[in-house]
Amino acid sequence: MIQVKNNQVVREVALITYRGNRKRNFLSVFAMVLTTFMITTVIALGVSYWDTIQKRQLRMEGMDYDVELTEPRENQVELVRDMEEVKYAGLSVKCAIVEEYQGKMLDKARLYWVDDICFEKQVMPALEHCEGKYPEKEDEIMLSLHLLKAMGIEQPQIGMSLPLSYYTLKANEGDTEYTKEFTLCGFYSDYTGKNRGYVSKAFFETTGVKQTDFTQGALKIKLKDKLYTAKEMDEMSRALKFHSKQILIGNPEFIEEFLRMAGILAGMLVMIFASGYLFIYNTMYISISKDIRYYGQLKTMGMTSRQLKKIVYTQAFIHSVLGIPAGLLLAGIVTKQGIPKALSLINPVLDVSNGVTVWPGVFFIAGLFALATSLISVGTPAKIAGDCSPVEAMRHFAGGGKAGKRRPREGASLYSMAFSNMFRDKKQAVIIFLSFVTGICVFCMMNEYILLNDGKFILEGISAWDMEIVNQTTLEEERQIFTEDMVSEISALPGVKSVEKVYTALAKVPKGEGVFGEYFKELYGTRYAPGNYEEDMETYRENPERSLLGDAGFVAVGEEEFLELNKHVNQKVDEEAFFQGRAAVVTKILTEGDDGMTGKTVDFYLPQGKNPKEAYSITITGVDTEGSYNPAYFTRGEAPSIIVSENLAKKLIQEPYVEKLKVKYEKSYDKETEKEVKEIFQGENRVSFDSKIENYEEMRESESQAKVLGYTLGGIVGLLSICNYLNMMAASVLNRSKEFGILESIGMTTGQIKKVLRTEGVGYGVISILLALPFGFILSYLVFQNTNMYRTAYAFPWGSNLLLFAGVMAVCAIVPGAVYKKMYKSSVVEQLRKGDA
Amino acid sequence: MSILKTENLTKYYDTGEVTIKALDGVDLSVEKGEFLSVVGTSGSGKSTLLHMMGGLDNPTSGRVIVEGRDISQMKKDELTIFRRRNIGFVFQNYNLLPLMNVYQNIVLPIRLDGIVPDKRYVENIISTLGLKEKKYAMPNQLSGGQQQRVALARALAAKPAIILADEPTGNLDSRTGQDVLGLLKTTGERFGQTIVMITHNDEAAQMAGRIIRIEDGKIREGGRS
Repeated sequence: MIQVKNNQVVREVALITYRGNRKRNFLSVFAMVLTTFMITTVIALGVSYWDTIQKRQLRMEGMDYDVELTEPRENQVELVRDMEEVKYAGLSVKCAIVEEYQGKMLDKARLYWVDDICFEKQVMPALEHCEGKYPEKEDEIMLSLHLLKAMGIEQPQIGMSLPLSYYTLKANEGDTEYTKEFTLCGFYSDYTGKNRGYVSKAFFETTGVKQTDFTQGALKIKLKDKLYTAKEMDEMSRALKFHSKQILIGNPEFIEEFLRMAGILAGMLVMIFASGYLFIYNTMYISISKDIRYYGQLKTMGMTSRQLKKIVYTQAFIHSVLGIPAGLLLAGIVTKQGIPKALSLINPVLDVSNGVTVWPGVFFIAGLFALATSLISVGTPAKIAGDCSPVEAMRHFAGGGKAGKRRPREGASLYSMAFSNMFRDKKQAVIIFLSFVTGICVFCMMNEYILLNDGKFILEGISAWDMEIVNQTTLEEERQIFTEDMVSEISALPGVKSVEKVYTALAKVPKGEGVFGEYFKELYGTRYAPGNYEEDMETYRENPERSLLGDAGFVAVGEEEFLELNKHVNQKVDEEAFFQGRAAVVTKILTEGDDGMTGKTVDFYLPQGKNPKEAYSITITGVDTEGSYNPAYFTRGEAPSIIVSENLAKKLIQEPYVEKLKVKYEKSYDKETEKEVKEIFQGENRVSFDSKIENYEEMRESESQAKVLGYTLGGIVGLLSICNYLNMMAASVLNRSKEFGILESIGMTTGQIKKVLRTEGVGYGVISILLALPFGFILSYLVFQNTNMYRTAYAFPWGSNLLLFAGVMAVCAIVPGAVYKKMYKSSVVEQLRKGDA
Repeated sequence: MSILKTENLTKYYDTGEVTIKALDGVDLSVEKGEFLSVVGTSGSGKSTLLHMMGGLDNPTSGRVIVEGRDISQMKKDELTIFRRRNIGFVFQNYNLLPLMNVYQNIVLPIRLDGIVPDKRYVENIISTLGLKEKKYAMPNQLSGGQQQRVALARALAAKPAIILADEPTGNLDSRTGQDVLGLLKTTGERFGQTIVMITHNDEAAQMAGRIIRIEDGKIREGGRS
């Protein structure tokens, strides 16, 4: 065969063809730009989002570590630090509790000493903001802003003097209270929401607490590889040769959790890739299909199939060369500039450099994918153009559809016309459905993920109350602070919906072995066991009055608190029986299951009751098996708490002691009401507040960051689906030019045509949503199951998902009519001619 | 009495360098019940004239008066509704809707007006045009002649006063073309309709009561009845 030099002419024809279709080229290049941009942005945002969430988790834990060794010995510290798999290990010892500042009682304000490694490498990365330096001198102290706020210091100054009352955690020291004038050398904010502070080594040494003291000292170990197995933990435990109650606390399930999370992210990326592929494929397919008649003409003039394919591929390549760099550039600008700016607009104190992480590989992968998609997507149309006979190509009419056999039907309503149109081009219908289903599913997943990281949602899951006010005298003098007048005053505030009191008292259970025996036995088997079970039980049997096993908490609650409590029990407690004083709930800690308590009757008497010696009986009908909920704040050590109704408490005790007030506002997060409630307690230092608003304030920054990133990610995928739909409908409407001409010529008005198109759109929307719903549900549940870091109950984000469905429906309904309006301004004859061309 | 009238009708196409005068001052009057043929060579302006008379295209100047109403002044949708009720079209390439069967195609203009089709009347047309057996067939299952008969049935179904036929036999063989023309004439007479037919076939034109010839956008013969 003679080699013919025709490359030049094929190239020329390709360029002429390309230049002749400016409008279509623009759309194809736009598709490339958008897809490249979206893939790059989505990967970058995904990485950034993951980073943000991780950072928040780290901050909520307050320290960066993977495994914790309790009560470490010196040699163990050395041993751990020498281990190959250990990155670094810092020492932390809880040594004192601050009790009071200028007459203000403080709640569980713990002071820690941490070594240099721990502070520099593990504490600092977990802090949101830090000023000053770690304490060096004995009187220097560094406190969390949370604690400073609790102390009433809103504007802390480095060097300010802080006279504090505290007691040390030295073993067997008792409750000796010390006072000391500290100097504030630093302060910080974190997400733990805990009252904490750090002290110098010199001060730590004065407390007498040792790192080996039970539950006080810990070696926080950061591993080189975050993913470790239970087997590796066992090996480490063996190497460390534990003393007495030492344990290694870790989360070997993390590897599984990580893989799950990676799976979800990979799944989302596949969906995003699928959306991008559908978009490019679709644009290219429509573009090439429209040109097939022209290729038929070229073939009649003697162009070979190979040459025709080359022309098609050249066009795709030009689209890629123009579209991909532009998409990458756009993504670069948006990820580097736009999103951090948006984040800093929402929260001015946010460090924008932390906004989005993009590594160069993302650009490379996205560019490669877009190019591959572009070339793969033209494969089928190029084959059609190259393979079909010239006559067929000349007759080819894109998207025309073939009318098959139909069942005999009389009449044709606009609706049936629309329904026929929806499925006339099955490929088009499938692509529209696929693209919408993908978009909706990704959005459902994002909505679930955002909900799970929503500060308010998390807080709602933790507490149903807006404000909890605790009487801090409970463990000492038990002063009745919350008077009836005070409660009435709070209730009378217009923004307050309800106020409930939680009463506490000591209950003596003289013969409790049959009821609580199993629980105590299991409890003594844990690391926190108070002593020897057999010995203690023997003492209890002989002298129940003197044994701590005979003590139980007696807690009484009102109606709303009962409803909340009833959510956490192993079997639902009958409300009537509870409020009539026949049924009780038991909460306990550290053991699993109900320890055989459900259904048993407990006999007790109340030393503070009207008749201190009189014995009462009550049946335990529900047990909080997970120990996740206790309406009271101060628990009596490891003893179980018997929770009864407030009616019963009032009947048995003259003036039951109110430990806590729980307030619910008419409108959650109502700052004005909160201010009014707090004003009622002005000057009262013996109470502490746990406010949902304050907790939310602390979570807001990372929540808004998560929201912006999450919605951008979802929004981009949504945009892809919408563009795909717009593209499909535009092609469909354009292809039906002649048909609309015919319809108009026989008397169909523009309004009626638009109605048909709108019905088609609504049909696409409804079917897409119905198809996507089961997948959306399953996927959002999977997201919940695998990323539920705060152990909240499952909730389908109905609000945002309904908004999404409404958006899909609106787009589906509006687009076809708008496209028709935009495209058909010409006369009927021109439309008919266009169709014949 | 004139049912359709054009007054100084012009249609110019501006291509940038030259202006093409597709119609150049056409005055034409068609009487009620008349069967009129418009003949002319390719590009003479006969199709443009028909489109203007049916309101499918807008004139550059002049007026088109149908049943006493100036349709060139009507808004788009007003014109569409007027056309639906008063004018039936028959095109050379049939222009049937591919997704609808024969019956659905025929009754569509009536249903678009929100009216329940007069079954007896439609059945009468269907049987007159020999489409009884093909009532539920799809357009792609029909021959060219059958498709043109469906187009004719659709034009007649809404009982329009005027039928405008644009080369109705252009795609048909001579025998089928004769059949279709015969049907057009007889149904037109039977249902009392005015027919304007475009053709370049002299033999077909002879079926009409009057013939006008158009050249270079102007009427050369038979302009006034």
